[in-house]
Amino acid sequence: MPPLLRFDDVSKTYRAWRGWRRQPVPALDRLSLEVERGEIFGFLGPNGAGKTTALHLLMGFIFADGGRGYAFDLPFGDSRAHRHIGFLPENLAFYRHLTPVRLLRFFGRLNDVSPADLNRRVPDLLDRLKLTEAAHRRIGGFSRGMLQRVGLAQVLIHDPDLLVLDEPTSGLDPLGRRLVRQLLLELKERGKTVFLSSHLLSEIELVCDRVGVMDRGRLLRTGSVSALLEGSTRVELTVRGAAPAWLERMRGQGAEVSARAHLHQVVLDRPQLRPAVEQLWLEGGELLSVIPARSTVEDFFIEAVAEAGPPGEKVQ
Amino acid sequence: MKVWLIALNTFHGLVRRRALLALILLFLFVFSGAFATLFLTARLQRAGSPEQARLLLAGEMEGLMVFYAVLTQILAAILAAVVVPEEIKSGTAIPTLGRALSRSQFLLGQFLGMNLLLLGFLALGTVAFIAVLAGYGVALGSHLLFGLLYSFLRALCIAALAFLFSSRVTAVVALFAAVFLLQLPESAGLISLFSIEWGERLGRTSEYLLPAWSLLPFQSYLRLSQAPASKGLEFYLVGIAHAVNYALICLLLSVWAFRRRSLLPPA
Repeated sequence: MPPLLRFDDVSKTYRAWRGWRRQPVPALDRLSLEVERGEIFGFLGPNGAGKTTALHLLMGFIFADGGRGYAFDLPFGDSRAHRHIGFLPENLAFYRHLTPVRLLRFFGRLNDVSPADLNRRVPDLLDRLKLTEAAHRRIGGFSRGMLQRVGLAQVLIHDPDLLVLDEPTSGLDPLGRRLVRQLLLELKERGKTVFLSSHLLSEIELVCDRVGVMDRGRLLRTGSVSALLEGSTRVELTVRGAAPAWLERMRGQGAEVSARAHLHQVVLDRPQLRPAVEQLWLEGGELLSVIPARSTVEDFFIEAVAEAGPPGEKVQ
Repeated sequence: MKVWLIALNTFHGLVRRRALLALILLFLFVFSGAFATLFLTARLQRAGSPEQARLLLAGEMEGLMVFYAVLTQILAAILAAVVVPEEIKSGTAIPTLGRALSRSQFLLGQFLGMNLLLLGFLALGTVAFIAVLAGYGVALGSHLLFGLLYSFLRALCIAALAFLFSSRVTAVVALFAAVFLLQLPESAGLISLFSIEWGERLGRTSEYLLPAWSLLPFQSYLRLSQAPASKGLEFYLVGIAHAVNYALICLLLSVWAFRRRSLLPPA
């Protein structure tokens, strides 16, 4: 089965004023990437890495200087492919005179959703995204968080197969972020493909199957999140009621032990985990949680960017 | 269908613009000035000078109708220059064009929506004029219909021209370009005062760029005091055909110019 999304050597250069001249500023340098059906792909990178440029090229808002890209086997920007794509921009701007209900109906009709389906989907989406109370208020007076919810609703109105999300949790409170996470996992269960860019590594780690790191327009690395998690060498234990002797033994084995309120956090190597937990239980302690000691995606990201060299240098 | 959806949305968005409200208020202000004339007319009628009263009213209403037609054309130029660049600048074009909608459908919808507003603006003024004239028992000649039609067609051509520029450049540049082009025939006359040769050159250029522009003489038909000289059917048909031609060519060129324009707001 062909990939759902494909970038083949795609390059893009902007022209920006520097003094009196317009000089080329490379934004994307020969990006090649494939996203398979049903996977959640996370795009990571520092500011100005070219993530949003890649998403805009995919949607046909701008055009590549070189290379080609395909979504659903159609060239980027083809409106036939847009029927199956839901796009959430980073900088949200909707018609201020419309209410969420009218906006969703308007976008739904542009995507050929039948009136019967719209009658069912609009209230359902408003309810899921906690927008029911504001359903008939004009968007012009909405806060950033509410706009983000409207943005997510408009992405889902035509039940797309591919979701392209640029910073989907930006501007949301912790509850809103959890809602987005749940939504993404639910979509994944339904076999939808998600291509998202985010700065929030912890969220990428929680929802993505695969990640790609970009810097200065180049894709530095791609990797599977599950493989990264399996490769993690240290784990962090949170324990309660641990005997002082057990804590001392852990320190003796090279673990980092820290106390917080009535709890202890112990960071140790993965092979030490099983015997340590067994001893803890035998000595009457309680294990509360076990998580990877550091975000493995964060390690992956930092290593990739560090390998590329400091800003100002050309990426190797 | 999608073009119509975009058009209706554009219309609703434009109607809520404060600038448009300001323009309508300006017209109402000017229109209210005409009440002084109406008052004077009533006094003249009571004083036994109905002919003088009629002439005074006709002159005032003619001036107002031409002013309204010019205002519609100014509105056409501004709206057409602003509508697409504003969508790009505010970022609303992005979620809209992220739909199963082609750029040409989007552009045609914008143009249609803008023209719906122009038509509404002209219809509103027409109703107001008819009401006032009927109230004073002034007979409405059929040539006034041509005056209205020409006013709309001229506004349509101006809008299409400004729209063409705005599909490629910013609103201000588009507006300046459209005004510059439309002022070429007048500029030719002005320049010929200093240099006949350069005046003629500019005249030829403007005739080349805006052929048969004078075939939409709306001012000659917005008359109450005297009916314009009657012309053959061919004259009217050629004028209308030219206007439609202008609008279509400009629209086609704008679709072509817009097809690869970046939709990102200018940095």
